Amino acid sequence: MEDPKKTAGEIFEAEAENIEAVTPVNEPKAEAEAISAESGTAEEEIVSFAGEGDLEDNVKVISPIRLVMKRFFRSKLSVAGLVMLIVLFLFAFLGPLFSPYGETQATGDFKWVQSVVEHKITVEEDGEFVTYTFYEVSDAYKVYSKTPPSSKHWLGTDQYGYDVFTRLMYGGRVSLLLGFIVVFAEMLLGTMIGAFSGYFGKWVDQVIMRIVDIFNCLPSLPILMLASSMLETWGVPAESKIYALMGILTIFGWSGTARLVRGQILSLREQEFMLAAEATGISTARKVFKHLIPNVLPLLIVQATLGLGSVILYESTLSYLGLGVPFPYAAWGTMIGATSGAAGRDILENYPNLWVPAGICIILAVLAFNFVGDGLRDAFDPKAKR
Amino acid sequence: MPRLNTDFIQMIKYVIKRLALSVLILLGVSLIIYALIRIQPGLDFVEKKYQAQLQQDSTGQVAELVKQIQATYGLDTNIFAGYLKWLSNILQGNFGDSFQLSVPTGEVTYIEIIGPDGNPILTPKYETTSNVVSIIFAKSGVSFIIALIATVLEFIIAIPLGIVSATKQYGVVDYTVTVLAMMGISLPSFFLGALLLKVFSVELGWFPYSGLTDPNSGLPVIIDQAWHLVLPILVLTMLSVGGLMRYTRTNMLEVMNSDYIRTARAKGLSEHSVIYKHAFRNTLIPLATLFAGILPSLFGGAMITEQVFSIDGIGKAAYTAVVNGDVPFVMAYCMFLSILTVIGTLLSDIMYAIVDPRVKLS
Repeated sequence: MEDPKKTAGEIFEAEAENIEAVTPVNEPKAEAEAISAESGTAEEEIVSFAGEGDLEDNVKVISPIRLVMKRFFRSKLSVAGLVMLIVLFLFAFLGPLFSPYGETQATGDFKWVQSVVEHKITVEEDGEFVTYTFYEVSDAYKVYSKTPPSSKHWLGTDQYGYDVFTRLMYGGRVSLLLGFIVVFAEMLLGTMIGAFSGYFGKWVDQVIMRIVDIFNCLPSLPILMLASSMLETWGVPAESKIYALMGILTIFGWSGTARLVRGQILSLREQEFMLAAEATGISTARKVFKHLIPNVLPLLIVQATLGLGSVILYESTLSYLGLGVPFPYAAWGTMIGATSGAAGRDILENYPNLWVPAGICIILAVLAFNFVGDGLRDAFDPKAKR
Repeated sequence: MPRLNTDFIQMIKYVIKRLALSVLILLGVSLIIYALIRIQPGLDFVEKKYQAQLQQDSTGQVAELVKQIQATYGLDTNIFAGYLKWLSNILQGNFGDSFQLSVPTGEVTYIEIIGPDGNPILTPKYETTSNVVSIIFAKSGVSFIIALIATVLEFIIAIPLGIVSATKQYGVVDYTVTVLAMMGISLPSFFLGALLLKVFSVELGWFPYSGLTDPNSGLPVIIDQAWHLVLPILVLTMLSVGGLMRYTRTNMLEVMNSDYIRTARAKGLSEHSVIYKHAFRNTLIPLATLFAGILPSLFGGAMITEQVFSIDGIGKAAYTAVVNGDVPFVMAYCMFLSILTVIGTLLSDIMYAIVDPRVKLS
């Protein structure tokens, strides 16, 4: 074998040449590229040309990140998605500060109700049967009525007297926060396991991939239902249930990312720049974290953005089934869940203001993440035209 | 079709290897599901079921029965021993009985009952069974019909739209179709179901509210049932069309960028024949693999949609089983789904090799 240092040096030289080639400064080649930029081909993104004059002043290099941003903002759908996301975030996280009502503050219309139960007792008195009637009267308690939208409560109040508009904001906090944390954890776990598996290969890869197969094969909805009803029977308190839910969604959601990362690492491992990295004699951890994972990052970002939508859908489905974030905390899915069954028929038929806005919020959030994810995928793809 | 004999042998080898791996995967899946069900202390369905009888029972017979049932299903031991018990039952072909569900077997026996006038009357007694396999077969019928119609509609709608959208990339049609498809992907089934019920059932009164039949409708049974299934099918179709449409679009775009399409154009072929003769056929390659992959969704039922429309299919049965801790049925249902998934993936890999001669199974 040749001296590794020498090989590395050669490769670096080659790379340096390459860099020079892409950064054209005062060379005839630059002129050619600049002209082709003017005629509006793909090179336009690398070199921009502003008017006549000295080429040195007019040629500028755009960093890859700015390139991606530029492509991203060119698509109307991705910008629409981004705007929707920002609005939803402001609505969910800043909105409650401006709302006069609290998440679990009953402010709707109510009536004082006393329940009256009739008891009849027949007693024998002086040889005669006399029937006495007792009335058992309870203490007065409040019964809230569902109300349609009004100027005081923009989306009305629900059956517990809570302001729907305010609860919509708090529900957004649950969905968005949970979505972000779960996806982040999934990506972290999936990337670690996938990179480990792809880099070491052989039996490590075999074992890990079989585990990934098992997780991929689990029917997701029944499993999530089982897991969250497990939380219920374990008596996880309502305020910490959201964290337990995050854990569950992460445990059953990392396998797709692991498979993706592993596939990427397998193909990247064979490329020449990895040979060069190897030749410089850096540690394995550095090789993986400095050279391999950054190359998978664009794909991961796209995967994460698209994954956010599906995590929100799973969370709201669980909430709909009553297995998600429990009452009295608000969640979008729970608000729609009030329509299910025979008991919910009244709400479904007569009070669309209680559940339709929540559904629209879910659609908007998922749609926004899908738009942004799609836009990012196109922006990261170097082959994409336009 | 396998082109060479060696190819064919290779494929057989591959299938055998994959099947062996599938058994391993299914073992892992079943262990995880079993542990998840058993880990819940509050969900001992057997005790719950006989609770009322247990309290009145003075002879200890009911307690004995409960113990017996628990022993049969390995519920009286720890999780791992219970799992082994379940596994050995399965390997002996004994899939167990659901704790709460039963379906008619179709057999009728007649019992003589002495009528009020003193004469014996033959009364039909409809036999039922709680065997989980029978339940799955009986309940998945209606789910299968719904899923089949929805899938056919999905392909009929999504493929042409995807192709049009790809050929007119970034045009008005493309944007409209893309936005609609994305909305379809983003819709939660329970919300769409509730919305359709509100609009078409409550407001317009076009379709029934829930269930499968309505004795007062005055329609022939089959039309009445079809009428009840319109909204669920609509939900499933709307949810799935978007994904397939985008898939078709992506594949079509990839094909349209390939060299042989440029060659076809260079030959001076009309755009129509370039798209429908050269490009479209190659788009079908990845689509063919989808047919095998939809296996679980065809037979597995739709838990949420069936719940929303109260359709007595396998999805609803699974939902009640999961909620009530019906161990044998949940296990059977989850394994049914997992087996379908495993077979579906294997089939789609084989399909790929059959449809695309460049792909080699190894």
